[in-house]
Amino acid sequence: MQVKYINPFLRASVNLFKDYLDLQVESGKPFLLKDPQALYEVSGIIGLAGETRGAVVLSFGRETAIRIVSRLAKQEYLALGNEVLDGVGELINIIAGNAKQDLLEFRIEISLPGVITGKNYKIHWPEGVPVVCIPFSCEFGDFSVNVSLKDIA
Amino acid sequence: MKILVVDDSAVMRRIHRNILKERGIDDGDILDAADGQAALEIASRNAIGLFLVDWNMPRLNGLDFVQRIRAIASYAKTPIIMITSEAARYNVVEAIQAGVTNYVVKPIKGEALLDKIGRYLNA
Amino acid sequence: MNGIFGSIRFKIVSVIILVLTVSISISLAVMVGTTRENLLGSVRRNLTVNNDILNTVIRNLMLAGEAPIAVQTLQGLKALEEFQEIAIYRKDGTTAFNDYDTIDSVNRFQDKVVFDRTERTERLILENPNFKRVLETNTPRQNELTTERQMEYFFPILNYAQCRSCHGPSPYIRGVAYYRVSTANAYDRINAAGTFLAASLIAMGLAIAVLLILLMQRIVVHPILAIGATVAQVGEGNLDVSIELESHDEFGGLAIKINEMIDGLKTRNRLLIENKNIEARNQENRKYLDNIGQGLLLIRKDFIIGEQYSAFLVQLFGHAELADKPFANFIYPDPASIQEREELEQFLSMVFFNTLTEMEMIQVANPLRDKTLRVGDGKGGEREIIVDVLFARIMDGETVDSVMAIFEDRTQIVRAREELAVQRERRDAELEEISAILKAGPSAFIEFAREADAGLDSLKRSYDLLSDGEIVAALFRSFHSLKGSARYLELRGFERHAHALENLLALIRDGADPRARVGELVAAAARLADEVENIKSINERFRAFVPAGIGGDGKNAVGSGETTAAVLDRLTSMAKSIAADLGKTVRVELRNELGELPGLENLKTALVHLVRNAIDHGLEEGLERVAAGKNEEGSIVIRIYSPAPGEAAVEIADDGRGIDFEAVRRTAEKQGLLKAGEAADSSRLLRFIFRPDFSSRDAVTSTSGRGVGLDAVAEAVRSIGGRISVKTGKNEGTRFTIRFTIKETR
Repeated sequence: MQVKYINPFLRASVNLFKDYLDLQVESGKPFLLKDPQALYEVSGIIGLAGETRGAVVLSFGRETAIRIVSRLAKQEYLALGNEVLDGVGELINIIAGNAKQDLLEFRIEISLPGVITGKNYKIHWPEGVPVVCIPFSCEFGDFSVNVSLKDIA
Repeated sequence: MKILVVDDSAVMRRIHRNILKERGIDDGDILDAADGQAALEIASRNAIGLFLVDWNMPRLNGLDFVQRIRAIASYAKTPIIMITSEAARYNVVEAIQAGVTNYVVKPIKGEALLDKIGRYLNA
Repeated sequence: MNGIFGSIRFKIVSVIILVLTVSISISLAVMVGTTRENLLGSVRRNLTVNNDILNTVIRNLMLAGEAPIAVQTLQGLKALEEFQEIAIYRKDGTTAFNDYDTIDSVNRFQDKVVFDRTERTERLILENPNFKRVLETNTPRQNELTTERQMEYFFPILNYAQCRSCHGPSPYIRGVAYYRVSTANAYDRINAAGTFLAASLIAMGLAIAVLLILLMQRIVVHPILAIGATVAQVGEGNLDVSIELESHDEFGGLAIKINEMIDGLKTRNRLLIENKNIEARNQENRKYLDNIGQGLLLIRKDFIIGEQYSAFLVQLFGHAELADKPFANFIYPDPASIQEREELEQFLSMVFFNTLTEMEMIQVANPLRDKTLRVGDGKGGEREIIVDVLFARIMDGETVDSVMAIFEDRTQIVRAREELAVQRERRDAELEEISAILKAGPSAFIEFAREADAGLDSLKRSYDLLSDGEIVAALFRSFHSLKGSARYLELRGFERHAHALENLLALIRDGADPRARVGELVAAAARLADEVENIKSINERFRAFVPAGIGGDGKNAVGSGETTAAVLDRLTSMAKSIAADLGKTVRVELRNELGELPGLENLKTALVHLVRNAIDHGLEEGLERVAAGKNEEGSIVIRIYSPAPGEAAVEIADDGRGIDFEAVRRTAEKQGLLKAGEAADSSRLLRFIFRPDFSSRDAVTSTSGRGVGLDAVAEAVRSIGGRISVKTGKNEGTRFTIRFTIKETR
């Protein structure tokens, strides 16, 4: 699991929040996610395949998600409705799109399975690969970037 | 003048609508569609003066939509702004050949979009 | 017009008047003459008739024997106003009836008295030449007495047959009838007629003249003058005139032709002026194009370069034939660059024909942004330039007429930046050297400089011997070592250059052709030599300033010694900076159980290598460590202790990946040290890693590192009579231990 694959997503996330949403974010020390399913309520999944295989998952608490999308759309949302989920998906889209530029030199395919929410969703992490969680916090709450990659080449 | 926003993301449609309204455009003049097919239908029933089209959509994607709309005589020269999340070269060439007028890259800042479409808005 | 006499008006008027005058005169003359003739003729005829009548009367009278009546008749006739004189003369010139001679002769002839003697007229004699003529010719004669305005007529009286009975048989003339008539009347009438005719003719003539003049004026003079006036205007340069004639005759036709000609002239004039303007603008453009500091050219619709381009381009591209060359061929003249040319032409096609799309969007596909091109240098050779080309559409209504390409030469900018970077680097290196010397004291650098000089020297002597693997390996080792020392002394600039040199030597060691690389080696060595000189000179200055005894931490005045603590500190900071360079974080733990260790001096280089390897190859990246359940921060432990009396040990341990025995095995097999499948236990494999040239490229990690340098370490250890051992565990880390005996010093 090499930083060269992960850093683009971290950079893209920070940039998105800073430039587009006007939110300062701070990152904490990465740690091993003992329970790979212990994520926040709303998760946006980016799949990777090629030189490395696995997933990058951005996970947000419900309130955080609502407030972030409200700022994005310049519209007050009050509940985790379709538009909010849509918004999260859009953010993931943008992060993936921008990360893709930095990953051009590697043979990596990016796919966007989507945004899932609820109390009981399950993420299909690659077999036998630990999940590292990089925590972030911002004015609207905490979120995390969770990474699990199995290098092939 | 009616503007048609074509984007599969409800949030993006909302965002575009808000940007346009901030510019002073009447809410009733902003039409939207969630995919290319719906957009074609709306365009056939209304006289659209400006299109904002997302590139990646289900059912009928941006490129196909532009090709279809350009085939209609009344829309042969209407300004079409493409909204894309990457500005990779091959994408742009395809879009140019389909007849797109200009493009913006996601994430879009309001001013950036308004800069590009300003000249097409007579309001 | 040359004066009034040359004017056409005058000419026409003169002609008309002349013609009329002549014709009137002729007519007058003719008519007057005719009338005169007619009148005179009629007078004559009258007279002739009168004469005949008189003759007949007299004859008849005479025949009747009535001479006296004849006489009376004559007298009576004389009284008529018209006749000035009427007389009949005998042959001999005497008037008839003035005597009785004839009567007598008649009587005699007839032998009887036929006629009585009656009253006689007076006797006159005619002595007139005409009279005589008549007598001779027997024909009537007339004679005009112009001064008296009279006419004389002489009629012969013949002796006709009926007369002969009285007057005798002679057939000849008997007498002459003489009339004298006043022609005054006739003449008066002629004159009157003439005057009348003249007057009327003249009047008519005048009228005709006036009419003709007016007509000529209208039909000829006016058009001619109008045409002339217009042509005069044109001659003076005023082309906004035209002839206004409505006639459909030849003048009208001429006017039309002249108007057309004026239009033609106007057009030609306009075109000439336009041409002049265009020419002037072209001149101005030429001036701009020649002086502008940018490259401009125009591309036509067929993608061929137009006539106008700036002189700057000629210079930049090193050849002057731009016009009429296809743009793509101009940019990529190499026949092999088909793809680039196609790409460029596809782009041009979009600029020209995809007019629905804004230029801003099309620029995204511009292949000539900050593009490196190979061009001629104007002297037959080639050079590389970096250009940035922008394209602008020049519209003609809705379509693109041509495209302007604006070239900016970035070569200088890029080179300047590079140069700046080099300068900065040099300055930084110097600062670094100064600060390093300040910190460690000049003495430490003397040794280093000596080492560096030695290394460079042996390199210089070996340029021709680079095909010898041993020599290359030795050179590699020495510079690898130097690199470590430089790192230790915090001479990062030197370290970088040594690294570059190391790379080159590694390439040669691994099979590259030394001759191809000698140039680069020489260059890299030169840079190193520069640095060494710098260090030496700075050092000199410091030695002048700094009194002997002060330097570094002040403890080691003479000799190039550092305390163990100092060494350990150095190793720690070096470890941290190497880690930072590699994007890793590291925690260094020092466990010195022995205090001052004199032999440590000789192991400095080896320790540097080991620490470096531990961080570079041993420790994983942060996230990987976390995934493996370790701390994100790596850990290095440096321990100094005494394993046995008289012995000292220095240990460098890391908690990284550990040595990958599989990779070592593979490399050993590749290098022929092991046969495939041959058994080899871990200790045997571990011994391989201390071999010189044991490339770690496939061995210890997947990063492309070079020779671990452990052979240099082994060498150093051997030189102090020590031993080195390795302990490693997968995912647990690696520990190198160096044991040596301590000399009892001091």
